Amino acid sequence: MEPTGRLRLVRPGEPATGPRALPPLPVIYERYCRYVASIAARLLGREDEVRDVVQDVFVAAMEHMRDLERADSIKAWLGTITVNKATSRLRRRKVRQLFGLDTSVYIPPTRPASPEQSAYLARIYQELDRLPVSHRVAWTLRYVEEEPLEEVARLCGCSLAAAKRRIAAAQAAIRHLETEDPPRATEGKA
Amino acid sequence: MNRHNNIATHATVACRAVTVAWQDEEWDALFVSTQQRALVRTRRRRRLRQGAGALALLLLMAGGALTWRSRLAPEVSQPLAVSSSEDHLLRFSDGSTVTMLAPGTVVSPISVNDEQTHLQLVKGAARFVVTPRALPHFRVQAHAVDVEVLGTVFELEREGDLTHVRVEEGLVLVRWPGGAAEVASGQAGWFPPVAPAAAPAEVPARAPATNAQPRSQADWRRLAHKQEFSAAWDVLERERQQVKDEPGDLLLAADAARLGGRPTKAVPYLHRVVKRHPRDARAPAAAFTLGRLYLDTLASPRKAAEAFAEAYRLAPQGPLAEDAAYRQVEALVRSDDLTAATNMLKVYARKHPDGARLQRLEKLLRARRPSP
Repeated sequence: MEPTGRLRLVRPGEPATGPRALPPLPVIYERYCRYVASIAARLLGREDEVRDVVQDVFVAAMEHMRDLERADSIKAWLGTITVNKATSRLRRRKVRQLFGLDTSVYIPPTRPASPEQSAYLARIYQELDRLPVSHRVAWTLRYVEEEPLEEVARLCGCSLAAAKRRIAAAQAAIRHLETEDPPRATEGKA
Repeated sequence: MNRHNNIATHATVACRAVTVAWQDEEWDALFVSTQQRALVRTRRRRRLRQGAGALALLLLMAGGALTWRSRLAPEVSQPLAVSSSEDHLLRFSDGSTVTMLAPGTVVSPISVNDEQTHLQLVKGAARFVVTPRALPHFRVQAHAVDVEVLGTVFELEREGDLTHVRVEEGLVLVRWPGGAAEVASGQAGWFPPVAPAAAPAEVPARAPATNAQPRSQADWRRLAHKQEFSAAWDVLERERQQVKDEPGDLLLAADAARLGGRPTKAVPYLHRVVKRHPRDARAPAAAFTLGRLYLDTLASPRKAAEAFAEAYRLAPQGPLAEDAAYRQVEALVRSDDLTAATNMLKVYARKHPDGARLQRLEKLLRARRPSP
């Protein structure tokens, strides 16, 4: 008999049916690894750290998968872990920056980008690197990941009012980019 | 919309374009390394618990009141992923063993506990000796194929999307999407079956035996065209049949060897296509396949680099050109010829400056350079 509140792993080949049936780990990885990596990439802006975060997320998933209450919340749960792991990385990066140990490796977008676009993105991430981590994460979740304010507050572990303040502070900090004309994208809106 | 929102819009649109563009192999490799890391953490915690348990036992023996019981977990005596040419043996607490048969073989755990051992053959070949139990308890997943055993000795080898199953003792149940088959002692086959005759059946059927009677000369080609590569190679090798010195026959024989479980035997046929028929349209693909064989299966990165270089030289504007250049750099790095790798990387960068894989190659090269 299945323990109350716990999920059972489905055997490969066996259909995952019902709210308590959890797909096998390789299926979960196949389904969500790109989603996790994309969030990490947009939060961190550096490819060398994205791999580590993806690894951190799925190691945590392997260790705590059976504690999920509902299988259909896997994506949200992985997203939460990703934000937490990326935030930790950003905090460590801040410490390295204080000691001048941080080397900047910029991650280019996958769409065909002009050098001007790449340079513009590099400036944005340099500005984001200067922000307090909490402000940067809140701004990215709100405007890049387009999460509702309540979700931003939940992911950041703060109140709604605090989330709004952090987002506003981040917007004000990158205001000076207004003086430049942003380069035209080679493709449509993301 | 105020100007602040405009800036946020421009910046957010730009940031939304940021993502990763890794190849499938990189995603697979990341999954393997993630599983290894999880296993290392599990073993470290187990050692800490055992260490704590030993300490508690000492305290108890010294009159302490602490008691602690540890759950037995399978012993894993070697790392699961191997990168050298030595055989590696995994031993489980019930006596079951896994022996890596080919360099570059990777076996990863899916779940390992007292009730079930569930492994994944990511690539290469391995031999499994499974202690018999009353209920099925040992499973190995190899791409789309799932092998379940009661107690047996069998070998698995992955080749692309296919898995070769050979049973020495006992019985295994092989499942794949839409089908299943039992493979008994002395039998072998490729799964999922691709020939129309091997359509999925509701009742598991015995796998075709490999000890067939001698066939006529025409049969090895007919078997290969039906994609019964294992049988085709058996006939070709056993009867020492001739292979015509023309690209079509040579490539068919190479496929029969490679996909019939004898990858080393494919090398001479592929070499002959490249050396004797360089102007044939299939020669670049033969060279590329040779490179992949050397690099991924036979662990000969230097020869792989030469083969990829040949594939590039034969068709520098062809559809395989970028892949050949990429893999040549990779092979040179793995053969520790960093000077040649650097030079080839410059060629790759000149021709494919926007390639997302350029960064991957640069990182690969940086990682192999000795630190100052």
